[in-house]
Amino acid sequence: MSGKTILVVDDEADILETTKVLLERSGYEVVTATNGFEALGAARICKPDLIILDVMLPGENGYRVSHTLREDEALGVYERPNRIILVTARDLSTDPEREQLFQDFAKPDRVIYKPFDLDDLVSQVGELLG
Amino acid sequence: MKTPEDNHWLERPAVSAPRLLDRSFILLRFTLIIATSYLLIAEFGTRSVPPALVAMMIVVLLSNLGAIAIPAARLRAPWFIAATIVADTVWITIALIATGRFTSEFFYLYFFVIFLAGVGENLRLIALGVTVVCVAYVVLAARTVGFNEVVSTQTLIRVPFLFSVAIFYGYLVDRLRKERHQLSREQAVSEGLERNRRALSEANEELRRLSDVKSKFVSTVSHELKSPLTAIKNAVSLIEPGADGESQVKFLEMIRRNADRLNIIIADLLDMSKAESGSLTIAADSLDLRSFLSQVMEPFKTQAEGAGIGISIEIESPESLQPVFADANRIEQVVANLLSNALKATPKGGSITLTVEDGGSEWVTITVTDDGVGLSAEDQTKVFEPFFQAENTLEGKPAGTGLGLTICRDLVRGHGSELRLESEPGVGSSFSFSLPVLSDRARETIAFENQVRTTYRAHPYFAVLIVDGGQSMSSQPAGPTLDAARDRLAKLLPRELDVLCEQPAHGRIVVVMLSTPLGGGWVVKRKLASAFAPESLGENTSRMGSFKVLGPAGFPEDGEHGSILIGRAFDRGEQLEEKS
Repeated sequence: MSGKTILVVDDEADILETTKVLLERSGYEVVTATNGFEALGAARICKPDLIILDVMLPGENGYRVSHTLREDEALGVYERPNRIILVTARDLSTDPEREQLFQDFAKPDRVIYKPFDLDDLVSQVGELLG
Repeated sequence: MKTPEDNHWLERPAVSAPRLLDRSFILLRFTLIIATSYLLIAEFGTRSVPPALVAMMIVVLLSNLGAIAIPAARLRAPWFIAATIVADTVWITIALIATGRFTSEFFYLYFFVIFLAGVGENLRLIALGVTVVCVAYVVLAARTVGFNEVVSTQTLIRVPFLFSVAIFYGYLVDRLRKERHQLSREQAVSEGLERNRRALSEANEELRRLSDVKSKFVSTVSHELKSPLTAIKNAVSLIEPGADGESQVKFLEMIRRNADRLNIIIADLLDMSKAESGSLTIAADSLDLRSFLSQVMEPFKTQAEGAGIGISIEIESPESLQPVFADANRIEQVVANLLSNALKATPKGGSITLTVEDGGSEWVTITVTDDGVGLSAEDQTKVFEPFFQAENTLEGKPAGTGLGLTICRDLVRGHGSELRLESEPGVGSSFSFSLPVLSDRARETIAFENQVRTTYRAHPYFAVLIVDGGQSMSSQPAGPTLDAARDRLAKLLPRELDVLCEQPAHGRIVVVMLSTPLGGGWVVKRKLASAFAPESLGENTSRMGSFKVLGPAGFPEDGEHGSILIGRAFDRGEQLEEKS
């Protein structure tokens, strides 16, 4: 495709790898990070077209990373807003209010829930990258 | 501090009483004004009263008419009462001075009456006091000028004046006092309300914290379960017909690995939930630690060699090591977990030692020591919490569920011991626990533990110490014996020694409760008695009947040295009552 870059952030090596393989098969360039700090660094250096961000990360969690990215956008660190897909294992049904609160804080473009379908992920990525 | 009266006024309708008081304020003031006017008119006698004084009297009378229109709430206000006292004192004093006929003695008397009204406890006393004063005044006047003279002159008119002054001022001061009392009561009530509010908000905070814990637990569990599941799903969808064999194998391997991990996590979760609900059973039997421990260690040896870590087993006195009474599967689980943790925390070139100490006592202690990264003081307190994973293990993020040590602790407790931890960052960690040497008593203890766990889930860790004044108890000083018992308990359950103890007297029972939600001392005794009463045991009665208060292994029990029984429960409430 267009050679767009996607940053995938997850601390689970297997998930990281399978997601990477799949996205590469679909023609994207993939950069990976395994924790929040790496993710923020990679976002600044690589300026990816899309960030797929897991919530449960060691150190800075996904919500906070996403929040920081949005704050940096407001300060003009990035030329264009980041496109963020948040990946979470949290169950919406157990505590919807809390989850909503976190999502309002993080302001991602999309949220997908684990265990997700790779096909679904690819189609969501396709939609976001136009 | 708080008496039933404190709430009294809350219950009684407080409307009618103040109304009545307000009317009496106006009436008493009229009486005072009229009495003063009569006094003045009488003093002036046949001469005409100066117009200024007449005008003042009219103003004062009108002011009292105006008071009728003032709302009751304002009439009751302390500042209004104080202002009235000052204003009335001022105009009466001015009027008295204006006549120019009153001697300083009369003024003294006047102020004395006001003083009397001010300090008087209640109206009746004030009335009595002023009557005495007036009678004394009249008698004194009669002595100096003669009785007939007093009756015929203005002296007598001074009596009702003084009387009405006393009643009016007394009434005002009395009400001022009542107002203040009322205020302090209201304050006390509002303080009470504030206390309740604070207690409520603390309880609320606690609930919120618990809900946070629950929420965190749920999200951790779902993360732990869903991550391997996601990896499996991903890997499955990446396997496609016709792709190269090597990558297929890689994904299949990934699926197997994650399925294994899911399996472990689910087993751990089930174990933990069993432990929490008290249904984790210990199937203990005779166990020879020498062969058992080397078997358990076998798989770790190859792993340690691969990682360049020395691993060894040290048995203190192998020949005399007695068999213990323990559940082999459970102890394998514990030892394997401790060894696996040690491997994770130890760098290349480090060493791990499994030590077995008999020490000739009735407990055998097993210790797993490593010279790895160690745990910070903060981590040491959290290490037994579910899902806790230390950040500083060598591989970055530690593999595992974070449930291992929580389960280990419960399994060790099931054997009547406690999992202990000593650690220092950079030096290493050592985890140890004890197992009872095979004996009838150990059998009883563990059977008892199991029963306690299933029967008393609500209070799984309570211990009861009964110092029972037996035959020879009187010949022994009770203090040291009790201290010995307490030391023994401290060794048994080091974290939970929260001893509430009464001085033992001959023939009495001392109940020591360790870390229970019940409370302490004789209160506990009573609660226990009702908790263990046959009617509250229901269908468990027969099982309870088989319980005896046990002494844990290694503690002098019963016998000739006075009976000291340590156990984790009573068999019956009546036994307790009987002995006390």
